[in-house]
Amino acid sequence: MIFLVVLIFSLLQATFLPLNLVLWLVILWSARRPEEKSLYLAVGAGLILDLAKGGILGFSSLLFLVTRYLLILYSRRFNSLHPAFLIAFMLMATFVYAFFIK
Amino acid sequence: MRRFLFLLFLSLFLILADKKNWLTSPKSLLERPLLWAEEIIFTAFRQTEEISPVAGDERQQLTVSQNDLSSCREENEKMRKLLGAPLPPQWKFMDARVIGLVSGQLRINKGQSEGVKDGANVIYENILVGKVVSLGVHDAWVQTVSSAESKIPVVVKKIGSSGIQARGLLVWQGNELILDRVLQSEDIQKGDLIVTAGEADWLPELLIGTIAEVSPKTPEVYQKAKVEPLIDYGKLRIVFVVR
Repeated sequence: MIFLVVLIFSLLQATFLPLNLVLWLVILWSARRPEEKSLYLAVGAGLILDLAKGGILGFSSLLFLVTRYLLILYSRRFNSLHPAFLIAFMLMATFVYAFFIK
Repeated sequence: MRRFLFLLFLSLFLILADKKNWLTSPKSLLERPLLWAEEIIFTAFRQTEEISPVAGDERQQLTVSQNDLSSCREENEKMRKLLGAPLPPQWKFMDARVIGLVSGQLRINKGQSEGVKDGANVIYENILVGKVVSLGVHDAWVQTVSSAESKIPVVVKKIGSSGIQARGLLVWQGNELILDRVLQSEDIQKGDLIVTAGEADWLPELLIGTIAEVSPKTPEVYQKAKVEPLIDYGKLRIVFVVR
């Protein structure tokens, strides 16, 4: 189900939407999920997005994976579910992603 | 940690494999249905912009049919116009359909396997649309003139004359097309034509726009002017890749 949503968001991003919905979805969805599952989602979502946007296969996966792993590391010491932190993290991740993938 | 490292290396391997073109066939196979879906989504998105939302079912159906018909007519018309445009006979063209528009970049439905090359100029009649900046198997991203990263060496010409009035650099700044780096000594006026200079991988003599407003003179070395593009890049449906 989640991959269907990722697919729809990827198609929208590849055609007219200048927002990184897939990245936000990966961060928000995986914030409350087990680490293992969320890492697979990050890679899978990245692959779908790369295929939809015609980018280098694996590049978005790599960025999503590192983003998710940083969130995991943060959550081991602090509360990563705080809305203010999540919003700030999403914005930062969006900025980094846009820097690497135009 | 082990799982993370495994996935990290998997992603790195995929990047390497894609860069080395080892994945062209499976990627092409997976991309095709996505491109088809994207074309439908983008066409629907365009139609929602154009069709009145209060139209009834039949009227809507008729509008959609008319739209398909006008799309075919438009394609023929554009091909005819391109054939009539004063372009060098040695240039070869490939028509491509626009399937996306995100942040000033157009996505077209032709890519590496159709013979599109990185850096190829994309035109509409004899007007410059942009340059291919990213190439997929069956698609390509075109950086249009109205993209933040776009910097095009241009010349200014008076309408009806072949002589060069001035030289400058065309950039996209704060939602406007700006002609920059024009020496104060050079004479530019409202209505002058902006044409590609044929430098830095841009083909020569392609129209871009006209000067809409010349900034008042300042003590600076260069003068600036606002440029009005000849086409609305957001409304293009078919473009031509120069091979």
